[in-house]
Amino acid sequence: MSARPVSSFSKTYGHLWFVLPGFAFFLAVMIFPLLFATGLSMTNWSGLGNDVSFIGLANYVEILTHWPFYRAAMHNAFIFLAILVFQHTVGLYLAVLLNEKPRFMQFYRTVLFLPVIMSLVATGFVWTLMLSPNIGLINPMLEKIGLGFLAQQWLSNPTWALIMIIMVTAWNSMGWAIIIYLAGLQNVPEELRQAAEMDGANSRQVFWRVVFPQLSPAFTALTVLTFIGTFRTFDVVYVLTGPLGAPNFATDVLGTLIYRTAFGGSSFSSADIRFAFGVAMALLTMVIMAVICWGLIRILRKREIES
Amino acid sequence: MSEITQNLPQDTSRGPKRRQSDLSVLAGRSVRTAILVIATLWVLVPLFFMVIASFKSVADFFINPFGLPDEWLWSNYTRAWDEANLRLTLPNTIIVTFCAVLGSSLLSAMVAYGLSRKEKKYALPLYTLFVSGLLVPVHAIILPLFIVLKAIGLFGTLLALIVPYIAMGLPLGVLVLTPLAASLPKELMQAARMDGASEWQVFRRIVLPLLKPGLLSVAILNGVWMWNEFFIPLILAFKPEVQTMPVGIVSFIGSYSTEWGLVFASVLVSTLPVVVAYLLMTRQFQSGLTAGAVKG
Amino acid sequence: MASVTTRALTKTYEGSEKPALDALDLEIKDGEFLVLVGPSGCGKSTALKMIGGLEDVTSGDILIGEQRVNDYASRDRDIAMVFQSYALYPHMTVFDNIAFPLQIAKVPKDEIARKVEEVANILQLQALLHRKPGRLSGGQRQRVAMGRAIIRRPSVFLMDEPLSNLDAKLRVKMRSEVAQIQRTLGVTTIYVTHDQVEAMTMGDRVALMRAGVLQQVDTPDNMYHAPANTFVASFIGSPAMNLFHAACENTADGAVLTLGGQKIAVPSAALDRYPGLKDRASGPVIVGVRPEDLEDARLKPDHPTDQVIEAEIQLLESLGSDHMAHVALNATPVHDDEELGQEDLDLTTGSHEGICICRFSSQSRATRGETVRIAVAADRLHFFDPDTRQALRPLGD
Repeated sequence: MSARPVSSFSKTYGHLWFVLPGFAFFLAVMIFPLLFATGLSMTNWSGLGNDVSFIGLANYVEILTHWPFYRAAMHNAFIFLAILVFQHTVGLYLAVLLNEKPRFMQFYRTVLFLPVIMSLVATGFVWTLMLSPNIGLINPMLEKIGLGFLAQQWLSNPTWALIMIIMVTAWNSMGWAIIIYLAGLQNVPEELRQAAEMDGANSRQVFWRVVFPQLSPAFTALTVLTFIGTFRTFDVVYVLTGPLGAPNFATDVLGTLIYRTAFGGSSFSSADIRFAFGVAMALLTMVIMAVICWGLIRILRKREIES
Repeated sequence: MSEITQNLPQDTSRGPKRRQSDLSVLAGRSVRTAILVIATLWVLVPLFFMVIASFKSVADFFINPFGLPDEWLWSNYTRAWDEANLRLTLPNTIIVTFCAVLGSSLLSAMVAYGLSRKEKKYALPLYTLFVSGLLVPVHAIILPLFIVLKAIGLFGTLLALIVPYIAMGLPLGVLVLTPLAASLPKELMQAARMDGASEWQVFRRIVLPLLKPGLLSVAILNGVWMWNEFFIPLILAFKPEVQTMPVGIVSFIGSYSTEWGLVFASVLVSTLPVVVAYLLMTRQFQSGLTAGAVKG
Repeated sequence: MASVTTRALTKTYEGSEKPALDALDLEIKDGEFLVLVGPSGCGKSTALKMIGGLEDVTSGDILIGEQRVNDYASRDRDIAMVFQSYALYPHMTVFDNIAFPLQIAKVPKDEIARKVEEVANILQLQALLHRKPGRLSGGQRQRVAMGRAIIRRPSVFLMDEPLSNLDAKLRVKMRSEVAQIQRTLGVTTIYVTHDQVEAMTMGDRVALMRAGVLQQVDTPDNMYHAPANTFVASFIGSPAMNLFHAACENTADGAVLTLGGQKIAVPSAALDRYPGLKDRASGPVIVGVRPEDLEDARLKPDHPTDQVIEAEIQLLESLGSDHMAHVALNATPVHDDEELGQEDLDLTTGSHEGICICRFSSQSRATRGETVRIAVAADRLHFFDPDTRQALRPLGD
């Protein structure tokens, strides 16, 4: 036996060698920059030059009265609610239809999930082609079928622009709802439905009384996923209406606002760049999102247990 | 089933009703099919027009908005290759995604194995720490990250994207793989140790192969995200030599805003590899992405 | 090859006060086949895992050969283990499973192929080498697990209930095969089982444990014929030894036992085996008698008449070769094994009435309900102290 005894230290902590490389990356890329950012958020650094002084929580206090922050957050909230409703109605309904195993189900499923794997940049360009005032196809189409009066400046009308952002987001994320609900539906035991049918329930009652409660884990997952996704919206707005959230900030969201504040966007003078302030907004958003996320999960999980 | 119910005496009154409902069932079915077809068209029509548009000349867009192009311009693709810098950004995207997926999958598997022994006191806190990385906003850490990368001399190389991607892929990887690693029968690892395997060999020869299904999920999830990511390279890679396709295309737009054919050709080139991979492995993509998302 | 020694080996799990393994002293000789047996939770598996390096040692020592290995990693102890679940690597073929220890040891490829071939021949696995474990039957998996253990010729084999996942018939077959392989290879083996039949048939020696404490280590014969206490007496042997509270009276020419109001003369042969009985003048004892030492008296006309009792047959089970007669004795039974105790409860009719199982020869014409005379082989009676439950003979005898 040529072996050495194993020390009790390596017995207890030996497995940490496996964690170490990953942790090093994590430390360098996530933890350290986050701490750095937290420090920066308490300064007035513009992002350029050496003019830095510590100003404590002043940035955070300022955010509380910063009108564009509320406007952007409102837009995020609006997008979230709209997508949420869309996912839990249209998405759920499509999942129910697919669960009935229609002909070509595989085809529908493959196609409806396709946008999920596409980048939001690609999605943005796909819809630029449809909606753009120059090359957009929707308006000429409407004219051709005699509905020309419906034609719109889709992306430059303040109301329509936000609706279009929502529509494109819905297009991109519908696949999630379908696949998550479909997985949930397939987990509902067949006996449960049959038992309810024996008890004389009609198909509507079977769905709402028996099947739907079984879908609450899917509901929770989708709601949280939608929340995180919509409050991180950036790419779609950037591509469709630009970093300024055109027209006139009607589609400005937290993502673009923070980006613009911290890094400057096109047609944004460098004097307006306030890096530290942008970082403070990002951190505050993170904390608020974490709290809401945690609350959402708690409320929804509780509902799952009750039902 | 219906025969049996009709034979029951109390069901005779429901007979005619049933026939009527057969008709409405048929109508219902067509409505349902119509809804599915509409949803499918909503997805496919814009994609179809984009494919067409990628072959059009600038003039075609205005003369003939939704017809086929007069002349199929393959040159849109060759020009996109050079002018939209795809010849640089496509290889970049492939290299970055490949390396980062490999790195983050391997490191997540290692972390997962290291944290899979729940009885260890450090396991849960470290697991929580890694997973909470999912919540960290890229916006907040990107500039400090930029400074760090510049300080260690990675800025201006592809590593400036690969290193952050590897780290940012870890939370999902750890989230998916740790429970899987913990559910592997302990005895397999014990048997390997008895057979003379070192801890690294236990990991390499036993744990890693058994984590394969989870690793595939993680690789797909992270791979799709890395391939498509826009914001991080927007800040961390501003030279075409180190840019990935999404940023490359958007910055191309800035300089040639009227060359729509080229833009859509580039978008197609950037999307096609993922779509092909998806069509080849539809099941794995759907289950892999869903598993990760639901856990997240 | 090496001996294995444990000295006061103790394991206490966190959050529990009672040790799972309490000061185990064992010496397993080089090449010996030792079976660790006992009811579930007795600490036998814990002991095995500690020897294998899969559990930390709370206190005490483990020696393989002369080397104290307490702090050695499993891979450095030169041992091989067969697990209850076999722990075959599901993603490897049978070949790779068996070859794994050699691959790890960086043995040249052609030598690996040769050795796997050799092992496959011994275990009749030649045709299965390219299959994955998922496509093997239970018996085949068991063989692969054995193959993986023997290919390396380790100093020590550890086997953790390796046959318990097999069906009864296969288990009997594998029992002899495993024992034979061990004898051929001559590798020191520690074999854990809860099945006393396996223990008796396979082991050179048997170590019986209960609640973390070693009860007796001895050859199977001695375990059977000279149990150290009532627990060993009732655990070894099937059906279990009948144990009753009785009274003993020493007289000038031997002793007389009063069992349920009936008297049995205790011949000197029994007193020689249990000298402790001679030392105590008179008083209560626990008497043990194995079913095969109780015979229908009609078949043994020469049996001394003072070694006969009478009892009513409550149940008669015919096994073909024997009849198991369950007779009622007006004596308090002793239960020292929870599992057996459970079984007995169903049969016990009255609180003070104990059921005594007798193995009558198939010639017996006894019928249910009949009161029979039973010939007691009194020279083979066992005697235990009613308080300590230890055998009434000097320790280490």
